[in-house]
Amino acid sequence: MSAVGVRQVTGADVLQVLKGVEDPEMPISIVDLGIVEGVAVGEEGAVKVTLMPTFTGCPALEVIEKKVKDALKERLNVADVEVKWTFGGEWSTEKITAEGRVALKSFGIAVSPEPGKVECPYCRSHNVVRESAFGCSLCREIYYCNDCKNPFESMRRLVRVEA
Amino acid sequence: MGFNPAVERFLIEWALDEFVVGHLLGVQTFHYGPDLEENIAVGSISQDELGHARMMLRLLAEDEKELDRVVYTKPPEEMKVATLAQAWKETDWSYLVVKSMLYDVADQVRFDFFVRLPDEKLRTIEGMMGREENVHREHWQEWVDILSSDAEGRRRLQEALDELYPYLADFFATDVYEEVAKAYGMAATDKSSLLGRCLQQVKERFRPYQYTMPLADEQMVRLLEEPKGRAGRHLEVFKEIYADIHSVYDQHPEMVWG
Repeated sequence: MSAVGVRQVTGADVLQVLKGVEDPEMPISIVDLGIVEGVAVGEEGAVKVTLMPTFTGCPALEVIEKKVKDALKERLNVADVEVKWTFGGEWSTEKITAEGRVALKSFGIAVSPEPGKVECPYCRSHNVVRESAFGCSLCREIYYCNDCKNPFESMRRLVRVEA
Repeated sequence: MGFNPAVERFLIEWALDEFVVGHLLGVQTFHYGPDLEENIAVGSISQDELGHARMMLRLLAEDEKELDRVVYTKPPEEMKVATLAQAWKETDWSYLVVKSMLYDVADQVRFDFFVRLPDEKLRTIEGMMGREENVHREHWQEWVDILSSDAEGRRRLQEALDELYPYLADFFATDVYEEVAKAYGMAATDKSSLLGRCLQQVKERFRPYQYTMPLADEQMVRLLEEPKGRAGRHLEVFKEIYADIHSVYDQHPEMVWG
């Protein structure tokens, strides 16, 4: 049985709940991070959530999957939840919502609007230099601000290079 | 998920290579260096490689314990891990740089073969992997450039190349490419042409520094008939790697994540 009160759960209900599921490595919901690829509610009320990891080796897949299932069970009383990970898409920083960008910035993580346009989350300077293409999680890289002298992280943006 | 046995074998060989490479890079992160940023980079690349292995195995089975069985229940001789993937020397950074550079170039040749396979199910894993591997190759190239900037660095890289370069032949010493091509009704893909493509790319990456390749192309092609890791005949160090990889699983074979 899966219902909100007496009415059938809708995709919008599910999305609303997912808005409250935080990524384990950053203070941002999985919806704002842009990894929710799709939500489907079957006739019997079964819910299928399709997620796309930011990077293939993300160690948090199982944790996120569990958080999604727990939240849907707790908030909507939906027990029949399938979480499917898809690796075929290409997650990129464009998928982060405006709300997500604000949350990340206040956490000290920059999200560049386009390649080469990284802005220091502390002083808004563009006088920054990339120290390393790798950060403390797979989806971040390390920068240094030449103006305010703060090191900071930026969400990592990968581009496809044809062989 | 209904793959031809040859395709399944191809994916398992590839996944095990990536798994062992990722595992060893993970070990390297506990050596703390050469500097903090590099430690983080190695940790990230390690996770990417393990992620690729997971993604490939997930094409074959969704259930976590089924995936475990592919990796953890084979005796060493049934793990057809490329010798290059298992090459490992504790605390030898130059060796790791050359090993990783060679492996990633060979892996790119394999990836190029993979993306031509006419199978929609396979298309679901190539996008992210391709982008991540581009970053890895450029990362190791930066280290080749850095270490090549003085005579001592060049000496160490040459020494590592002398030992590791012949392992490129073993990497392609498998009939799986031909079998996969046949399964999809594609033109025959012989391993010597894949090896040739790989050797050319390796030479281009090392050429600016006048390194000497220890074997001629013809000698390398002959080595294709003497598979080592690909035939389950492993380096001595693999015993240690195998034991390390199995240590947790053997204690708790029914454990699940999450």
